[in-house]
Amino acid sequence: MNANKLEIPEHLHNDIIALITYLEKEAPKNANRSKVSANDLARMEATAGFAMPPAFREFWLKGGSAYWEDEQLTCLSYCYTDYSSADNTLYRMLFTSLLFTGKKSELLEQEKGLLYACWIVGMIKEGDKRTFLSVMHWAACMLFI
Amino acid sequence: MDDEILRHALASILEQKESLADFIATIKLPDEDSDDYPNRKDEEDENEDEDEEDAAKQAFLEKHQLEEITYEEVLERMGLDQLFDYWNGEGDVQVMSLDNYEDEPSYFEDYSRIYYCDTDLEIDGDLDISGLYIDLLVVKGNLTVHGSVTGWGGSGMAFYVTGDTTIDKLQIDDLQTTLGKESVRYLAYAWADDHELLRKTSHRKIDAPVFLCWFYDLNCFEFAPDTLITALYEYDDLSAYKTNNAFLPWHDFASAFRSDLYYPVEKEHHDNLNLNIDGIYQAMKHGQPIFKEGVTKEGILLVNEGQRLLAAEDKQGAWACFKKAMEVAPGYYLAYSEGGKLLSKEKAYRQAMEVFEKGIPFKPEKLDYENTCAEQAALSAVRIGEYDQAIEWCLDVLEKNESAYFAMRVIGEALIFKNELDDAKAYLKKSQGISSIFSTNWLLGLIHHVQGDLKKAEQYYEQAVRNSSRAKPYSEYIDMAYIYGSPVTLDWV
Repeated sequence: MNANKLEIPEHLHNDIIALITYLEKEAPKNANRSKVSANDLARMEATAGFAMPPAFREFWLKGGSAYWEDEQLTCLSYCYTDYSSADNTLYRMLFTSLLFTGKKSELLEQEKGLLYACWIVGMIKEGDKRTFLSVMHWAACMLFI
Repeated sequence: MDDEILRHALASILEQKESLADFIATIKLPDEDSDDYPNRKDEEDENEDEDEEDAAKQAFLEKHQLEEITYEEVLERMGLDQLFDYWNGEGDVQVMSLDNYEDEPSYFEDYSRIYYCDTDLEIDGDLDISGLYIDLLVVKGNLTVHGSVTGWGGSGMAFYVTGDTTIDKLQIDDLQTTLGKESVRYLAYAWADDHELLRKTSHRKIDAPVFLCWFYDLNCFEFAPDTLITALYEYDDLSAYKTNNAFLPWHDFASAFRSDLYYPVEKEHHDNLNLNIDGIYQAMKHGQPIFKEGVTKEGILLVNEGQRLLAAEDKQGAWACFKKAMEVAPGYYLAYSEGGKLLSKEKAYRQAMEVFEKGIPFKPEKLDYENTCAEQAALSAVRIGEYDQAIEWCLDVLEKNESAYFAMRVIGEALIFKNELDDAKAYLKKSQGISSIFSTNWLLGLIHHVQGDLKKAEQYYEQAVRNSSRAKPYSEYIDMAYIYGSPVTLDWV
């Protein structure tokens, strides 16, 4: 997939599963895929503190967790597996990013509660632009940075 | 990155903040000083957690008289040279993570969290105590766990029990020895790490109401007669397995289990055993049914027996089993699909159609590819001239699964009989685009033959011949009666 031509169709902006499926169709054949078991999901939900939406559960159990990259694009469809179980809330991710750059954000602390509730389930990196895909208890959002 | 950029990036989430207010209010957040985050806060929390864990762990160990000892002390107290046979070099069991160790002592040098109980041990709940990591549990007496035990391969533990072992839910693994009788109250399962290789384990007796098996060789196990076996691994190997137990191979579980106890299966060749293991266990533990309404173990056994008799060419005996299964398990889809297939093969198309039709409402909800009853009912209907009924059933299939190529093929044939050739051609071409099977190609060729396009007719005919040597030229046959024969009525049905 040519990163310069990556334009996520509007209708996929609020449908993470459809978006990942759309991207996976373009994934290189050597994409890294890992099986996700019901136990992996249970561990992830215990850490996240809420049950993942049923559609996501089915999506992960069917397709597993996946990671692929080519020259310009990196995509990650993330769920706990046997090998990977990182805490991944938007708050933690943003906090860590700021920590590296030595910057602070009042907004981040102000919205900490909300961002703690956003569990990252995917990432698209295209050049310097990173798009994080996250789910909340009953909502799904995308965040463009 | 300043706050404005961040606010812009977070816009879609912030918009939802109001509607999520109640949810956010329920989150208890740490109030740490962000300058020191995450280390200081984590350390504090961890220390508190560790204290709590230590207390829980100690209480558990004391309550159950468990003592942490070394591997050498275990051998001394048990008067043994070794605990497990794995490293004896006998048998063909090979587990990569165990083979990394040349012998048992070197394995337990790394996995040294060994707990010993000098008497009977009864645990109320899962053997999953916060802060207590057990690599090996040795019990000099009986072990009873009113909960779940995970094998060491699934990050659980190995065990050695001199008496009897009784566990509610057990993941079968190597390094689990019971010198007395081992029984599982609800659910035992053997689950391989991946589907690359059929795993073997040393011979094991399984006494559990339900046994789930994914890529473990069933021949390694000796089952109690009442154990229901659900298994999935290489189709040929699995088909070769013979048992008198109630047996649900491959995706047959979807016809028997409640639909909330398994996950969707998209394609017939998918080799995941998409069962909700914990859901099944919890249902059993709480006395709830695990089967769909109208499905019984007796029905499953009858279908298994019918399949065995059919393989031995005893058609009437097989039919008797399928028919009985429909009576004792009226919601069991496989009773109808297997029974219908038998009658269809005997060319008793009206009788087959009636049986398939009864099965349609019981189609496994989450087995996306499965349409046997509806498609075969329709195919039988075509054979006896009930074309509109055939089309109706197939359209129902296509409504739920737009790539159901066989339903398209049956509609195509029905429309040929109704002399609606252009519509028939459209369905057949679409079907062929998805799967180029013999009958679709032959029927497409037939339409072109009838419409006078002999060149195209020949092309499709040649493709049909490549699909099957049974193809006959259009100069001799203008329908598929040479394949399906004339309908009969069986007097033993």
